[in-house]
Amino acid sequence: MHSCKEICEITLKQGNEPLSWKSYFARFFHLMICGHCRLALKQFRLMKAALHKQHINTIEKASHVSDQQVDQWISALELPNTSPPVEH
Amino acid sequence: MNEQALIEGLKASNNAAYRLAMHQYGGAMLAAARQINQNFAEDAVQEAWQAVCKSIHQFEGRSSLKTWLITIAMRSTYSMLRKNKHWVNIESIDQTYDDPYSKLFDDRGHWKDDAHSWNIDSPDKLLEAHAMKDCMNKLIRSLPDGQRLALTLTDFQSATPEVICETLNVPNNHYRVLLHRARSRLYQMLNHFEQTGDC
Repeated sequence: MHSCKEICEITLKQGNEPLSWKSYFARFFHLMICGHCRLALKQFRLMKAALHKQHINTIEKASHVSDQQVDQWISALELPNTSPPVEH
Repeated sequence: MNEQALIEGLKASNNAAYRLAMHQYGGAMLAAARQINQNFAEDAVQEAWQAVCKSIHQFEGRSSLKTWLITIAMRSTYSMLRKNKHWVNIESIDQTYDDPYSKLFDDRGHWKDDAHSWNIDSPDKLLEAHAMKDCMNKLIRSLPDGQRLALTLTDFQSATPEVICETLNVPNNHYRVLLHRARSRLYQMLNHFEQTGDC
């Protein structure tokens, strides 16, 4: 039987892939009997979701780039077509 | 200009279409790259646009143009990190580390104190609490390179362990230790904040 510390380690070390069957069942059966770990797992999941949400928000709220920055990117591309900028 | 017309313009290497796409999506690409690494973000996005030029003909429209461009910017940043790995300080897993998380457990690995429920119960509410969000950002910025990258690549960017290990040039077990350290610090900070209101 895994301890609470081991169960939390399994959770904190889990990347973006499913747990192995062994770890999954170890955690599953531990959570059935341990309210502390159930609460901690809920909090880990909230933390992880908040991090991802923050990333999405940062991208969504990203400001438009300056003309100078666009000129710099364009000049490095050496595009054949040099039509004038369109309104945006 | 609608998205389909913009894509056609990009495929035709139209200067105006590139300018418009850069104005519309360049900021988001930079923001995504900066979350991975501040130092290489601008160069990575520059390279990303070059990659867009080469591969726009393969764009099949399975995702939105914005999502596709952001993915290219992120891949380009990973590639920059791999090329410049000597700039990224990945601490050794043997390095002495005072893990605040281990203090929560007794010698037998059981919780020392009763767990405390958090007042905040959704990611949105957590991010709306500005003081907590500031504390989170401050802590993430203060993490050593390896821990910060393991955390941002896993939890911000949802990258796979294979991509992360290749990007950081570390074996899988080393990546897991870095991730565990970063998450445990963040968890401890959030727990502390919930109880005291301080970082």
